[in-house]
Amino acid sequence: MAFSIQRGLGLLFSALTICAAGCGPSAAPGGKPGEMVYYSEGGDIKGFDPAKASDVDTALAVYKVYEGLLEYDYLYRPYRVVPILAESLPEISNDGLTYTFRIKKGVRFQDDPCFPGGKGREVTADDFIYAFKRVMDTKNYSNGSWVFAEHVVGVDEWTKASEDPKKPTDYSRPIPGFEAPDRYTLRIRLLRPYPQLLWVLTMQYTFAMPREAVEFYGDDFLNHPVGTGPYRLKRWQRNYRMEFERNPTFHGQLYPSEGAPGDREKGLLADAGKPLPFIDRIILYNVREYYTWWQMFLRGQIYSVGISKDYFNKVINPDLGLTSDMAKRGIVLRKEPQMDVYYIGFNWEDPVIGGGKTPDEVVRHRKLRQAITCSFNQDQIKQTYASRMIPSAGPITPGTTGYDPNKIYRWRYNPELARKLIAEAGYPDGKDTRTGKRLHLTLDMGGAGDAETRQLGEMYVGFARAIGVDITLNFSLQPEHWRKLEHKESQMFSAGWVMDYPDAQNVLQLWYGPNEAPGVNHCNYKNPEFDKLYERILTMQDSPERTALYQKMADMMVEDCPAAFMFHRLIYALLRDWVEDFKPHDFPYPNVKFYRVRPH
Amino acid sequence: MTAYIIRRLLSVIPITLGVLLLVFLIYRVIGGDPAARLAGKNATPAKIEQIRKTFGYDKPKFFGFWVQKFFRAQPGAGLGVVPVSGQTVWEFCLNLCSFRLAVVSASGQTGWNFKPAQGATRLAVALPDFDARQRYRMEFRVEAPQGCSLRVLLAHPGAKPENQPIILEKSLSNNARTFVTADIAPTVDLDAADGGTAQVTVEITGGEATVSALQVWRAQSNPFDSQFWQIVSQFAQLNFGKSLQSNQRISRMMADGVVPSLCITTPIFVIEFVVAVALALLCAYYRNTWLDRTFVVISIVGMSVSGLVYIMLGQYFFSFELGWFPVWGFEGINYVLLPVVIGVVASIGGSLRFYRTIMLDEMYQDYVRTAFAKGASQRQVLFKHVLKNALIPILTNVVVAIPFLYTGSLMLESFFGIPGLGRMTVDAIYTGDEPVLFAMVFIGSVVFVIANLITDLCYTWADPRIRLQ
Repeated sequence: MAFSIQRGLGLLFSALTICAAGCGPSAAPGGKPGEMVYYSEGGDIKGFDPAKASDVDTALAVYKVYEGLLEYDYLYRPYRVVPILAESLPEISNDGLTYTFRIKKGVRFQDDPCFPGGKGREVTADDFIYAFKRVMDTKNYSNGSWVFAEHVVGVDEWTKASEDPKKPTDYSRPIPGFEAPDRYTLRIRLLRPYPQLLWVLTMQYTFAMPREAVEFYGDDFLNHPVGTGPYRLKRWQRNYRMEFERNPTFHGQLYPSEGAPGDREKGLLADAGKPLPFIDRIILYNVREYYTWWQMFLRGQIYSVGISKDYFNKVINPDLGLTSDMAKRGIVLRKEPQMDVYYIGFNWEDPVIGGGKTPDEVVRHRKLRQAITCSFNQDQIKQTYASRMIPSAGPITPGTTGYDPNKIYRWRYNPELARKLIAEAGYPDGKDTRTGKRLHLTLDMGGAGDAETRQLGEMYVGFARAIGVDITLNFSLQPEHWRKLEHKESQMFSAGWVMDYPDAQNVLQLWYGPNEAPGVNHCNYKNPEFDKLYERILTMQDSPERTALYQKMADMMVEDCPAAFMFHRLIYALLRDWVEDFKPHDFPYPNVKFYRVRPH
Repeated sequence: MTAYIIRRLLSVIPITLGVLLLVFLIYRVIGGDPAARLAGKNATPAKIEQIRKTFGYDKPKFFGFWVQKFFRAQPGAGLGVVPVSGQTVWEFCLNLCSFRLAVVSASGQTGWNFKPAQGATRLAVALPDFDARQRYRMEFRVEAPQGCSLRVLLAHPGAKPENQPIILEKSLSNNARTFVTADIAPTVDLDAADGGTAQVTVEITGGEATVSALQVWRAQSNPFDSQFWQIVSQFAQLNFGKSLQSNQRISRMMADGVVPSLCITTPIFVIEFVVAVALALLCAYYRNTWLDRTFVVISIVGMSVSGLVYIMLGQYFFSFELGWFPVWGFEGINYVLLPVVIGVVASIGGSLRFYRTIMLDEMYQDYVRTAFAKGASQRQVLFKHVLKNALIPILTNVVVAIPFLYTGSLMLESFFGIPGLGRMTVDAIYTGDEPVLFAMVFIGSVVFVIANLITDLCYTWADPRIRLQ
């Protein structure tokens, strides 16, 4: 009998081996001959409802199917907007309060069962107004309501009216600020000048949406995108794989013929004037483990990959270029400074490190914050981060007007100055002159368990110890970190901001008094002078004057120190060289339509 | 027997209530509500409050006659009312039962200083979504010198400023702290009942004063109209709601994820069980020989190596280097083979050792010796007697593992791209997606109770001495 058990096992194992060998090598399922397919990592998405597409992965998916009035120019720098579903840039009234858009004629939504006869209907101004209303409807709890709230005539009243949980929101109720005088004209009327309107009209929250689809699919609308964009969703296995195919009724768009200096030399203008999109199918996988992602990239199953810290030395040589081994495989390196800023915030309401109540406290606390800022060694962080960051000198991010890479502030790494400042703040060598006790602070960091966050945290502790200050680190999961900030419970915290549009106003709002927690001003910074400037720049059109004000406000931030600005990310990523016409972009959401895949 | 089964099935109720309570305590009471996260990075306080209302996060946690209301307080124009900030007080008691104990205002500010230049100072408290048919209560603490007087005035939504009924008038007699409660009675005037913003004004005349710990409460007629009971009633109707993270219906997410999970876990479970029991019998048969010892060593080594090592090595050699299997994906049977083999290899060591111990325990029992003494062959004893008697501990081990089949295998699913429930649950933990967690623990506890019941029934079948009552 023992013999038969053994034989059974042998059979089992040989069966496994035969099958394993027989199944053969398996690359990503290839396309039809002549078809251009693009494979990439797609991440977790929140569904295809533009009103709820609040994270990068979801936005990337939504932009393939839906479109808005405007989009960012793919090649031109500094960033500017170009019309996409609008015929041209809007007419703006002299007082800056009325924007009139002409909408392209003959643009149709993709064919879908939600339309009578299954054939896509023409896009009209009402489709935009409907989409805007959806974003402002409280019942949709869209993260995008900020794009119009407090800016457009009548939206806040409309939002208020949508709050009643018992009644369904009345979409026939007009918003006076959104008017459609005829099918192809959309007029937006503002309460006050809002120069950022053109930027926000490139965002997914403002994309044209057919009411038929929302009503036809109801709760399931997020799984059935019906847009005008270059692609349509072919198949989506949630949590696993998304497949897009060319939208046969796409209204057409041409590859840009004007680029930034140097684009022609890089060959980026070779396709100028050709109809988009080039790629026929896009397949996005939801790969979680970086280790797997990396193997799939090397096997050519996906076309681009970020470089995690652990792989950095394998891939990047000491001169911060690609190693020859990688270059031989036909891999190119992308280095992209990000439009973001990471900082250590100080809670302005904290009795030790905050704004202070008495004039004496105001001065001493400021010196303390400056001392801590001066103790942070950005170069060391840069080394630990393997150069994947740019030391930051203030809130203004790279790629934004007002950013000056050469700016050097007084409050940057300087141990002597830090020691001097901390003594003046009343803590010589970190000891409180009144009690003789060592100064003890707490720093809250999100991303618990993440080795990189821990390493960074330990570094901050080390920096502060050098000037005699003890820092206790609290790591928590991101939701808990958020909650602490919302309840003003943190003393010091690490935080970051990724820009919504290339305008410094977007980051400066983080220190505007009325935005205090639970709003975005997590530092709870209050400075009437800053607030006044902020209110002024809100209504100013882009001009050298406004840029000067941005810089002035940034200087105030750095001087008053409600936050220690640490770094902007610099992303290193690898790309297969068979992907052509690729240009890094800070708002890359719709850009896959410009790419081309060379046969390989 | 039937009564026993029904009784056991009924125990689902307290058990699910218990686990829901536990998850609720961990996520909602200690973790706070997820409104701010849902509102996104550009959120304003008003927006967060709207979300709180939409999802019912503004209700009491478990029980309460009063609901704390959000308000905005603004110093009266041109007068010396200055906000004072201070320490946040622990909100725990307040959150749990709406006992009016804790001292903290919803706006995060703890107080205001009234410094009158002349005449009265006013603090305007705006109450959005005021429902005039409900009873409201405002509470605050006042610290003021002798001779001060205090008035609280109310303006219903849409009321003219001069038409403000006085709801409280009080002269402050000493310098001590006074606790003031101002009740706002409901009105039948239906014109005023249209949910707008009401304004309550706190007016102090005659000296410098401090108002602190201001809170506003709204009466609620049903004290069980609370967050926890909302979840319980939702689950009682088997409505799992939607994920906060993906916006998808959770029932659909589970339906999508259960098949891929079972595709991995069931073969692992079955193969591992059959192979481990077979090898254990083999070891028992050849006990204390080189074969037995070799398997013991192999199983101990297998147990000591982390599953992650098998996964990474397996994926690297068999998929990446040799290309026998796909690196990642879930498209057909060949995508499942490698994860299953790795799953079996990673877990077989422990089970083999466990089953071998059970078999050997039985081998030294009296009845085995009797059987041998009666002349039964080694094989007969092993299969007729030992295997049957070893079934009870084996059954316990096996049936208890069944509920974990549906939770999937987190690591295998993550590395090999199997869109199963394991990945979904862990993502939900990382992102604080509490509806998904509620649903998973709910299903988990139900399946667990059923699996336990099946174990018990199997006992009676395996061991005639056991009777269920």
